[in-house]
Order: sequence, then structure tokens, then C-alpha cells
Amino acid sequence: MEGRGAVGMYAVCGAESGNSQISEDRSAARVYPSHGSLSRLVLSSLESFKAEDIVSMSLKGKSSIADEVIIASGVVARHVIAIADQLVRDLKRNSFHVIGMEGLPHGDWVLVDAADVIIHVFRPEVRLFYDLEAFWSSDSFGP
Amino acid sequence: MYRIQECKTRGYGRPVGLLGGSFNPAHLGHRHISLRALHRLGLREIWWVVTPGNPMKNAQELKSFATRSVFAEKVSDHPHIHICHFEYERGLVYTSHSLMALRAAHRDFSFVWIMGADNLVSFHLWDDWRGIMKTVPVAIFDRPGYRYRALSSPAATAYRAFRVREEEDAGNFAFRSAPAWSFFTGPLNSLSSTYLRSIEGDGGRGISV
Repeated sequence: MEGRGAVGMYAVCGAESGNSQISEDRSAARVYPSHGSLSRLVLSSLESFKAEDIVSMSLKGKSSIADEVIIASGVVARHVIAIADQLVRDLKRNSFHVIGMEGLPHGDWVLVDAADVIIHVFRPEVRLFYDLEAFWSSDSFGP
Repeated sequence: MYRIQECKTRGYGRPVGLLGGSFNPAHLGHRHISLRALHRLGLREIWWVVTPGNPMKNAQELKSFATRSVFAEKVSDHPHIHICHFEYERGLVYTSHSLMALRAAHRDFSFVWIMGADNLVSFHLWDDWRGIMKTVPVAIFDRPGYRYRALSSPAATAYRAFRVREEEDAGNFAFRSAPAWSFFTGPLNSLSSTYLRSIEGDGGRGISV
């Protein structure tokens, strides 16, 4: 789903999910029909812990590091860590491989590398500072 | 005669670690390996050598040098990590060339080439990779999932005689004569790897902050 612009950003803002036990992400499949099962799981997991300003950016055709980058915010550091904690649990429970994490224990910026999808969870001020969305939206190779 | 002179001059220069890459984008993993290198190897500085990139190869993927280096400045956020424009300013694309040019430009520094274990896996495909091994000591830092592939890689195998056993105090690593390489393990990321292991099989109880 390449909705807006060259990068294909698809913004979801904090929809409620009634069930934090992600065993079958049917509800996620209804909400994100164009996303693969891994990214649907990620998006559902983030929402289940009330992550905010969730943005999904497709990297297909743009970069080989992953298929997708998903960015979300937690209100405070403890929230950021809880979101990342739950995300890793959900991924592992569903047999997805988590290559690594960076950013603990500070909770300013936590990166979860799930190979095909890379997830960044930020505190809001930190997210603004780094502005990863601007990085991925900026022009490619040039002067 | 010249080589001996060169070794003596270079032996105790300012120890600087070089982390090369596209930094597309820079992220906390780059910062993490840099801090590990600073502490384990007793380096004074780490330079993030941002490649200008090959316009033929990655025109679509690579963000502009300006974008990548500005973002890298934000992410590095450390008084001893510097964003290095050396390759960009000279249009250098191959590490083998850059290392020789850097050494010539900074004769009073002792450089260490730093890589993650994932880079070692395919290092034998780099341009003049043997030249790199013979030019500077190489420090490789473990990354989850890559350790065994790295240590059994063609490059590791070819230079197995020059591997330096990991020491508690590797503070003089930058002063070693090339070829010399070492594989550094230790806590991959003090909290992250412990945490990830703790929830294997869903046994963990989560992080208490």
C-alpha cells in the first residue's frame, strides 16, 4: 500500500485493540489488509500497549535493509520500554525472530530489529529531534 | 629500512577507531559498537567514515551524503565520536584506498578498522581486502546471530594465524602491527541481550524499570 508520496507512508493513530494476547491477528488483518503478517503483528502489538502516532514506511524498492520501518511513540521512557518489551514478547510468542534490540535501558529510543521489519519506539521529544520520517522521505542520492 | 622507520613513527600515535558504512540511516547499533570500541580498545576517538556511495550502484537506495551525515551527527551524540567526511571530500568509495589515504594524511595516528561480525562474513568480497588486513589492525565486534558465520568466514580463515586472542585489556590494540585482528565478545548490549535471552520460552517477567 503506497498511499502518499514516494515513500508510501501509512499513518495509524493509536486505535484501541481489545486484546493484548496476540495469538491470531484477524482483527489486525482487517485493519491493515495490505501488510504482511509480521507487520500486522507489530502494528497490533504497538496498539495494544497504546503506542501513539504509529507510522509505517515501506522500504520496498528503496532500501535493502528491511521491507518496512515502523515508528511509534511512548509517552514517557517507561512507556517506551513497556511497548518494546511487549513487542518483543509478541514477536517471540508468534515465532518471529528478533535479531536484536538497541536503546535499553534509557527508554529515549528503542530499536527492535525483526529482520523484515525494523521498529523504532521513541519518546515524543526524541522522535522530533531525530525525525526519522524526514530521513526516509528525503531525496535519494544527490549532492 | 623505510618500513621499520614507519613502524617506529606510527607505533604510539593517537589511537583512533574507524567505523565505515553508508549510515543510511545511522542508528543506535552504530553508536553502541563505537562505545564498545572506545572502552575495550582504549581509543581516543571513533570516526564514522560515511561513504559517498557508488552512484551506479545505489542511486535509489542511498540518501544524499548531507542527509546521512547530518543524521549521523544527531545519532552519534558523543564528544569522542566524529562524523568523517574524508571519503566524500575525495570521492573515495573503497575502504582499501581510504585507509591508505587516511594513514598518509594522519601520520601521527594509529588507526583501527572496526566492523561488526556481520561485515566479516562477506569481508573477503571487499576490494583489496587482503590489503586492508595488512594495513591496519582490525577489531571485530560480536553481533547476535553472526558469531559462527563470522569466525568461519573466508577472511577469518585466511588470516587465522593473525588472530589475536581476546584480552581483558586490549588497550594497546591500535598499536599492533598489521595483520592483526581480534574478535570481541562480552556483553553485546548489557541489557538487551540479557533481556532477549530471559524471555526465551516466555519465561521472563519483563523489565522492571
